[in-house]
Amino acid sequence: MTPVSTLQIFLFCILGVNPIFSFSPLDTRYTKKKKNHVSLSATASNKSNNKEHSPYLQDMKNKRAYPQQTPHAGRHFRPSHPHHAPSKLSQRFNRLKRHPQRTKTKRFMEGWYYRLTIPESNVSFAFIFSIEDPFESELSLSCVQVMGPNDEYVVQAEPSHEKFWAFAHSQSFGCVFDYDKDAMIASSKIEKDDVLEVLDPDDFEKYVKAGFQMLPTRLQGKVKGHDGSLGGVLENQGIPRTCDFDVQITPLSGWGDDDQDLEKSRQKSTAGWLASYSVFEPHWQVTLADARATGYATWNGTRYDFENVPFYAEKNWGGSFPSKWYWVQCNSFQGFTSQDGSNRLSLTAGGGIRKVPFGGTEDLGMVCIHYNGVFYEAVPWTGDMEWEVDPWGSWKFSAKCTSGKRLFEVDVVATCEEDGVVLRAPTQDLGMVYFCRDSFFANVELSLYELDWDKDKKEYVRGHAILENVKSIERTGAVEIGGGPYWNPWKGKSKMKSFLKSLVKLPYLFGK
Amino acid sequence: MTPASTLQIILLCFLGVNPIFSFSPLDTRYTKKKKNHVSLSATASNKSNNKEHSPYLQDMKNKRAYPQQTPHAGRHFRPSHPNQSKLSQRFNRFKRHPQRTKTKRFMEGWYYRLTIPESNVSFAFIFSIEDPFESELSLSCVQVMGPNDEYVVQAEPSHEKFWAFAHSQSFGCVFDYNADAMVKDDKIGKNEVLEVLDPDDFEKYVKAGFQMLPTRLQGKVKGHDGSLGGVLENQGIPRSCDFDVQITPLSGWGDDDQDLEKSRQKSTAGWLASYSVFEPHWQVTLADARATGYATWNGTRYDFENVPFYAEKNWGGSFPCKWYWVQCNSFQGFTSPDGSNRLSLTAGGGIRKVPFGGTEDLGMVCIHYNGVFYEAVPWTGDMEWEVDPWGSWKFSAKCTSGKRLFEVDVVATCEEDGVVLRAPTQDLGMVYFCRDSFFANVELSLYELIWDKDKKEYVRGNAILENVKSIERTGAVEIGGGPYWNPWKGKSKMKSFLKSLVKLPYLFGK
Repeated sequence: MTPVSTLQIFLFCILGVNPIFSFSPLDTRYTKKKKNHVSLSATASNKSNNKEHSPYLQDMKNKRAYPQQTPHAGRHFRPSHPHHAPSKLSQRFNRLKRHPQRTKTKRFMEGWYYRLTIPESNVSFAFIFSIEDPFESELSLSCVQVMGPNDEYVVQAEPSHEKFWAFAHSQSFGCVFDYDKDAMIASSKIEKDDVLEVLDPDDFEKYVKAGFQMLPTRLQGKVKGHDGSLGGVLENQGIPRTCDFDVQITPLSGWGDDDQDLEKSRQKSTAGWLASYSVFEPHWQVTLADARATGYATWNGTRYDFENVPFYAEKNWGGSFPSKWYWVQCNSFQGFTSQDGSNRLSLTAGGGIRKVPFGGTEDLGMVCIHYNGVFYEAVPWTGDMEWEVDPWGSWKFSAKCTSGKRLFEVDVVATCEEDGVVLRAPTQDLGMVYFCRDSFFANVELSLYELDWDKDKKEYVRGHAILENVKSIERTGAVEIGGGPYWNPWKGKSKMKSFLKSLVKLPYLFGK
Repeated sequence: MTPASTLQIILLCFLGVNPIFSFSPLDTRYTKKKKNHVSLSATASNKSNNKEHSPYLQDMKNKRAYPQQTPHAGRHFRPSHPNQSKLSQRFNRFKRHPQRTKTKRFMEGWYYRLTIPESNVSFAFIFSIEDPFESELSLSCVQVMGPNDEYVVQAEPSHEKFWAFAHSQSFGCVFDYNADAMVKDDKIGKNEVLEVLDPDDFEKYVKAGFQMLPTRLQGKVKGHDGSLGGVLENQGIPRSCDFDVQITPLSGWGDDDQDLEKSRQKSTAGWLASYSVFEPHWQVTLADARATGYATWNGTRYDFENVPFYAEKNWGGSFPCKWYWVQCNSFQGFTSPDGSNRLSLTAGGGIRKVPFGGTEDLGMVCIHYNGVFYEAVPWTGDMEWEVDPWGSWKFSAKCTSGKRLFEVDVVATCEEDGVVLRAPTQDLGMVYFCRDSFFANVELSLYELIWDKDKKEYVRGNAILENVKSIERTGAVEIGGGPYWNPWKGKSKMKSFLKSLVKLPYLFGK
């Protein structure tokens, strides 16, 4: 090998595996799309009346949608949508790239979860979007599920992947199942053979009959689906049901302290930087720990309007779910749901058992709080956590953060008297099948204390109470159990393998 | 190292790991027990009136209890009962695992089921010992499933009272007995720990406990229903069950064979079951038998005579992560009290872990029909199953190896909810882990398979049994582990190198 090519190989390796420097994925601006495609994003932004949303109609490198945008806001796969097909040259270099841009060939799914709570009426909606296997596969699926009032459920899915589009640099994605094609051609919005990609919100409202679209601060959807009760998620596998929604989102907390900087962000990865690597699946990122939503949702004909109600967003991606997990979320605590976000409190807690290489498993759990712009993070690499989760109905957590400058202890108790609803999740072996149970009618209570290091006793002791026995608005907490089995109450302790802990804590040594 | 000691080490290794020659465990006859122990077995056998059971009061090498005795009838651990000799304890570590003192999680459990078809009543008696050494999870336990899928448990977090023989299916544990009366009647010395008792003595002096001789099962359970948190004292609503069952074996696990000396009964899981890496272990000890005696459930007495009886056992460090099981030996027209016309189905399977993080899906369907054993196990053919989260079990299995080729279809359904049972799990000990019912309906069909030379495949020949139904609501069904969110479809796929290993003995026999 000549000296030059060795250097080239060396450089490729750095580009391929270097985790520290954030090389952006290839530029995906529309000018690089195929010639004969009229880019809808160009068309849409030129003709849009929704000027405040126009920037979001393009996937733009190094431009964050809002200050609270977290890492992993963009997609982690290359969609098979015609507008995202890689150039022949980049296809050849595919295998050297960091995985967000690799063409997937083994089981892969990415899912986005949004929840809004209308406290006055005890109504919550959860909008769940997912793409499984964005390549040729028996289990390819583009899917939208909605949990509606009274823990009811609707799903619409197609066993295809080419219509699903997603941006790499912001949280934008969508899929149109059915639309008024003739009208769009007549209005010069598209050419004959186009596959719809991002649409101006007004165009979505006007022409789309079934489908969904997320721009970072605008979520729209028209679900013409069913309740999944007759066997599956595809057409005719349940009793018909519909849901339409149009939600405008005002971010408050992403995942970290409040930070108004749009250019540089110090929002954090929920699972640490290791989340960039597929060996540490499954991946999870809370993208909006607290936000406010305005708009409407209709459920089987009944319309629910809401203004500045609590909103929450997260995403999951990877090849598999944990084998057993729990999750509790609440951002509707009594006295902390001010519409402008001046007084706010949000709890996100989750954990479970995941598989690690060579047949082992790891028990992990975290409890995180966003309180008036301050982020309290009790994650496996900053402290210990214990949980006790019943087969259904009770979730108890106790977590400490004994690392860094903000030491604290938090206790959480969530209870749910309703039965909840069994939801589907994209499992590794069977695709989209029942795998978890959720409810939005839980009651949550939390207490947050400072921790001080007592030099004499040589241990951490509780200091003053930051929050004590704060209760959620009745029956507005979200709770979930997944995987299993659940024959007995589940007691666990979060125990991250120490070498992983040291790795994940590296960035903390430089910051904070 | 001198040549002599090297040789010694080689010999010890050979003795330690040699799987082919069946070195019997050390002789455990009572004459080797400690001096100051009066062996109850000697005492009992001398004074016993139950002469036909007296041979069973001793653990005797090379003497099978009955022709149908299967491999693995004896224990797979060394009990911590005081009657074990100190000398053998020292050589413990060199021995094959049945005789090693366990230091990691270990359990052995015995399961017996009897069905009273006329009244749709079944009893299941489940005995287990966990961690027969110093451990937080040590437990000697008896559980009984009674009429109406009800449940009782009695357990003690100890292991020293549990005794078990190495050569036959005999074991027991006495929780509570009339010590003064026994000492007065000269049955035992002071400070003795009870071991095997003559059945009459068990009946007379034992207040709570159980004992199994190979053909006599006795027990007095003063327990509770486990509804208040656990299996130990005061963790449920009190409930009691007494039983005294005499067993007449019909089929062990294999073809009928009257030879008492040499047996050709088979290991349910193949010879690999002798090695702990291939856990969990399972052996059906009596695929079909008849039982006579009585059982009382919370005061109500049930008498029975020559009713269908079934026995199996499990042992090892852990259960499979997910499994199913269906058993029935009460088919319409096949429950003759003398066993002249009999049919027994045993099917089970699931997912077990193999070394290095993989899992293996395995399943089997086996039939004992009038003394002939139809074995569709992972190394003789394929099997498919479809098991719902509850209520439906469907199996389809083929045996395409050996001389007895066949195909079997089984459907079991259960409309009752069943009862959630505890099992000795690896991490948490005795906690809820499976769901059982004895009210299932089972239907099976058994066909010959013939190799069609033209089509180059196996085709169905004539029907040996077609659409045979169980007596209504007398089939036993179970699901365990989990999770069970969706219907479970599986195919039995044994790793090929394991398949070849297990089939080795088949090349020599059959």
